[in-house]
Amino acid sequence: MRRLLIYTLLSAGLLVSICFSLALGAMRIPLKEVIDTLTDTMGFNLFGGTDHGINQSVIMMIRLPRTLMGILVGAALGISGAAIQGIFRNPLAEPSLVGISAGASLMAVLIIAFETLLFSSLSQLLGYYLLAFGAFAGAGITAMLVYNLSKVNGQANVSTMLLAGIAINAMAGALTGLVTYLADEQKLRSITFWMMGSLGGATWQNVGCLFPFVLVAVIGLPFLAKGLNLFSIGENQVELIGLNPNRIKIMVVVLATMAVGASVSVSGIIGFIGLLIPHLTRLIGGVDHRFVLPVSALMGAWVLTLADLVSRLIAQPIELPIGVVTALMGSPVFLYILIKDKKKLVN
Amino acid sequence: MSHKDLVINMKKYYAALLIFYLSVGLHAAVAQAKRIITLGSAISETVNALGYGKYIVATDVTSVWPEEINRLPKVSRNRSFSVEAITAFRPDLVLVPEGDFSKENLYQFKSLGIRVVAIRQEFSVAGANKFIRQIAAAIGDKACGEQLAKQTTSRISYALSQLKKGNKLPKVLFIYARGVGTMNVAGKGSSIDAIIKLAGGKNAIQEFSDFKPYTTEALIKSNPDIILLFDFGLKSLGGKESFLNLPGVSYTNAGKNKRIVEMNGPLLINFSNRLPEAIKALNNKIYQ
Repeated sequence: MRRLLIYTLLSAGLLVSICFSLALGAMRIPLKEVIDTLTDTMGFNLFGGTDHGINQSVIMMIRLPRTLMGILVGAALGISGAAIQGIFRNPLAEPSLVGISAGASLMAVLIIAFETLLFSSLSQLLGYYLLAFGAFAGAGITAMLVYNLSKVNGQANVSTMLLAGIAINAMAGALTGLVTYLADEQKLRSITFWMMGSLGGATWQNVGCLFPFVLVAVIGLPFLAKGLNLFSIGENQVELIGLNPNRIKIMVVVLATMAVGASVSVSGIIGFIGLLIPHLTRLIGGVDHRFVLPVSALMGAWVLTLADLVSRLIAQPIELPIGVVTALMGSPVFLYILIKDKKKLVN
Repeated sequence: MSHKDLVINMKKYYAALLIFYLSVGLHAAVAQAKRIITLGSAISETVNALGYGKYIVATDVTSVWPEEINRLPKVSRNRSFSVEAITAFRPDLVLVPEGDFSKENLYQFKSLGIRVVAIRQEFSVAGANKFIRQIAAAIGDKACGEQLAKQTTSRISYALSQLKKGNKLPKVLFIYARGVGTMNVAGKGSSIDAIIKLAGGKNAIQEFSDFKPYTTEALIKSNPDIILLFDFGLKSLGGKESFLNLPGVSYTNAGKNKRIVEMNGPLLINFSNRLPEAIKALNNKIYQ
């Protein structure tokens, strides 16, 4: 009953922020026109559906893709964060903390800097998807690396994992810095974009590129929820009921990194969503992964849409980097959770 | 008036009418921009010099000259901007330095039907000429661009003919500073390299291109005769006196002779209509 309420409230919250995201922005567009444009596109004709020119284009070409990208990236970061925390059995394991985002962005930066030199044949083959695949590969390699480094006697050791994550973050940061040093000014600008994170470049094209990756993760990961629940008791519990723990791990890492990698490739690094959202989810509804995974996706989508709205509206006509907003919103909440659960975390 | 005269007059009248219609038609073909957004100081300054300043509706934070332009809203800050915020000004032309808009942004503007013209800037006398012509063509007034380009070229020639010279080209090191922590020096091929050469100096850095972080050792090794900074850059380091106290500065000729020179940033890297003034001002400071 409580869970049903949570689902309903979150869906309603998401729906409301989608409406605000479509209705508000630097352009003042009357609400009626917004609704008219949307219904008109869907084939209904409520208010006569006249041509509104530039307003209509802004809604269809700027706001709608941007809102959709916020939903997809938020859902991807939220659910991946929850799943990765699940297999690492640690609440601090988050795509950016354990180095997955850094790996993805390092790969993206390398591709931007050396695209014409090294990746031209790959670029012809994959075209627009090259960056997404590269970021995915970077994310996957770092996730595997961190996981294997942190394994002690077949068990993932928490502190080793965090330290390995810090080391990999530092290394990826240094390599990114090196590439930045060598890159010319124009490439430097694209690289800065990755580091800051932004939804401002959303077009139908890159939303379409992101969609399948996120869809697979959002549908696939909840199927692994039962296995993840057993993981939290102990890896041998998974084997006891006849599931293969390694297969679950690999499935989670592949699905999560796919979603995170694709997100990073279109929006750059957006921190804190992957860390914070699963915590909030567990805070309101308990630790069952059958609940945590889908709700994290839902809440991630909602919070990121909201954060994007703030980043667009607070300093008009200039936009704040969305990473700044998520960190400002996220870190106090995270500190609160930390203080509240201090005792639990120590034990 | 004879019949013949009347026919000739009629012919003249029709010819005039024809020319009138033709010129109206041509004018309509290259619609002149009425709501312009200029991003980048050099572009804003050039649009103003072309006499189209009154059509500018918004600029970016670097556009601070001429004074009146500061009344306008600043729609972009260090290349961070929102497509929708720019669209909100309903521009019919957005002028942007080449490479400042990403592929996605260009695609977004295209789908909104907003004309974006990326302006290429080359750091040379010929480049200044091309820069002016590109902007005039984008606005839809080529004749005006032609005139300003010619005028600028002759003013540059005059400035170059009046240059002060010494026995030896002084070595000038440019430091781009935003506080002590962030200092970069200008290498070969940069805008600063070009203006130093034009103003009768020699860039102290010949080892690398573009801008690279400043190090004390590199400063001592390059041993410049003059150190050049933007005015706001010198201010960010605490003025001339505290700059002279930075490690290593006192080992250079510039430090020994206290030859620390500051210049207005937008003027120094304008490379358009204000290039003659920039050459003259920098030359005066190098040989003062």
